[in-house]
Amino acid sequence: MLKINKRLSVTLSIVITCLCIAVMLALAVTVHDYPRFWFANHTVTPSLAVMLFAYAELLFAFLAAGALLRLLFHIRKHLVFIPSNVSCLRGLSWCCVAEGLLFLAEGIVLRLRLDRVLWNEDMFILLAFLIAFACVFMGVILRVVKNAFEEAVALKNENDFTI
Amino acid sequence: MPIIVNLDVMMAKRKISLGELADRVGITPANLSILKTGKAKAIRFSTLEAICRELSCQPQDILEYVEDSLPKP
Repeated sequence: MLKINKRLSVTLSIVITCLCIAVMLALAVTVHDYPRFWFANHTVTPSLAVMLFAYAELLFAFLAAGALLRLLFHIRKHLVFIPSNVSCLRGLSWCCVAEGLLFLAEGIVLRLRLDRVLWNEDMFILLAFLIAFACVFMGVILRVVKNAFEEAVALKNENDFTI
Repeated sequence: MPIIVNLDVMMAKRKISLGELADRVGITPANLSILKTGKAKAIRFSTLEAICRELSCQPQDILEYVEDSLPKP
């Protein structure tokens, strides 16, 4: 397995996060034209509900990316077990859960056919439910990591005040 | 906190400054200040030994137990 030094590893994480933000920006700009850009379908445009869900999902994605960058910059400055990082992880977990709930709601809305989407409907609904589950599970994992970080902050505090 | 640190009293009796005591004990003045002001959560035996050696005193001269004034549940 390729092993890189710690500073390079953190820098790599920052670069990948910035690339993800760039992709999210591209999605935000092209959301109104998803079929043409992503599925080569010139005849269908996404409905208002799908677009609203997409923008809401992108908003939480941007918030999560911001929290992630803040966490990475702290780690880069060797500030790991601090209350601020616990807040970042808490925010990240809630963003993931919110994303999951949005995808679930989107799947339900499409499934109930409250909004007509004419392209690859069933696949889109299944994908929405799968993504919803993955997001909520990721949120739970991050919550557990946050709990571990909280304990680590308390231990570090105890250690720092041991003379 | 029930444990009171009377380090400042002993330092005054022995006429030694914070910086000088920190230097002799082998800890930073900042850490000794944390101990002196009662903000420390724990003390190592090695640190307590060094302080007692430099101030020629017993642990009970530096550490005092005072029962909490709050009623027990």
